[in-house]
Amino acid sequence: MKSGGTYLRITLAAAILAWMLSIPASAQDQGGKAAGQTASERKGTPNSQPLPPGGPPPRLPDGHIDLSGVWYPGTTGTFDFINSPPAQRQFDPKATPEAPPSFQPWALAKIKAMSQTDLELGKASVNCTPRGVPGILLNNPYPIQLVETPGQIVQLVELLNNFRVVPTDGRAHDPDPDSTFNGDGVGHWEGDTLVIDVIAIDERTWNNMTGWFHSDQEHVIERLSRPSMNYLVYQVTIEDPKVLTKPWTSVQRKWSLNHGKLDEYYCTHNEEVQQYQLLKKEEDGKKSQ
Amino acid sequence: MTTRNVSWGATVIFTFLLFATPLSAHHAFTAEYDGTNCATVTGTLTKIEWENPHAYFHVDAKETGGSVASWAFETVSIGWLKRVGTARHDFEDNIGKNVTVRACMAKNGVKNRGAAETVKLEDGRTLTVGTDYEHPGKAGEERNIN
Repeated sequence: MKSGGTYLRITLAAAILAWMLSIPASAQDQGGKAAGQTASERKGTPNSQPLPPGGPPPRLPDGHIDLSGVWYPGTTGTFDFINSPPAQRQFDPKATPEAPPSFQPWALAKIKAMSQTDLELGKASVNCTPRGVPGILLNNPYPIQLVETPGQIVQLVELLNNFRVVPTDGRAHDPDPDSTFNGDGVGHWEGDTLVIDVIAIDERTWNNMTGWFHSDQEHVIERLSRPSMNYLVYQVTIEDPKVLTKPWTSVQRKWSLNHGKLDEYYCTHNEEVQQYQLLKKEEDGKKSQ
Repeated sequence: MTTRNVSWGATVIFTFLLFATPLSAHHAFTAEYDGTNCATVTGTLTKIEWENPHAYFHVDAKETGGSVASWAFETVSIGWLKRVGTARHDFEDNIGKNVTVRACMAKNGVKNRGAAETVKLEDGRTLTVGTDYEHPGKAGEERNIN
């Protein structure tokens, strides 16, 4: 049994230590180590595991699979940007590697010539412009909501409060469509897969975040299916004979069901684009010297 | 190796590198902020701009020497803030109170500006307002969250 004197020394030492730890850091302390919690200790949305299949998918009275629901990219039915669990991925690149697109040499050269600032200024995420089709389903961490009724499907997009309405009755394209961010999309069913054919996509959209631009000849074929209650699968083929040497097809990308609702997202305070525009001016100024 | 083979090889390698670049790189972060230059700033919370694509909050921090510097900190989008339990009122309720911010500093000569990771409040709670910019990729695959 320790003596009273030792207890006193331990208590005093603990008190001094507690006092030292309570002294606030100086107003600014430069440190190489992260202060505070580690990423895994920080709060995050609770689900880091894949959802179970959840039973068979629902169907509309007309017999077609009902794709309706609020869908998050990945398999967890939610999004945790703090812990970024692997289950949040839409596909496992080791199990199903996705081949890169095959660019025409002139297109590759154009991408190579983009500076980091050019790349940032071309991104929808910096400009607050719509990602368009298929960007909104290829490069979008925010949830979407699909509302399917007989003959049409409505896609609501949290990011920038976008939407598109696609007829699913097998009709033909508009004979002279304007270029739009979502393109002219027409759908038909092939069994339990909804196939959406899209043309006339605004050339300001990119297909990835690293400069994959497209021409006015781009033709996109999207495939949506719901293998079970909790999962939506998206696969897209991009044809663009001006920019690509051959069509590119994504792997099957998973989305998972959420029972909440979309939030509102308007870009009302975008300082980033101003920063990059300033950087671009400086770069252009240096080039002309 | 013929010239033709070299150029095809270079094309393959470049294409690989282009797409090996993680889509996860935070779009603004690498050009605007320095993940190797992060600091803790303590001061009084003065303002919150609760908007997209990023919220901004402002802190008046006392410098050594007694002057006060006004800092602007950027957060992730408000959709993500809400989903990790950081609410608008968490900021509004703390206007005028002391906060301790962990943030990575702006580049390009911009002063008193950072991309914030966490905000510790007077009541002891810590708000998560950004990813772990100092240790990207440590918590699993980093995602492009914008």
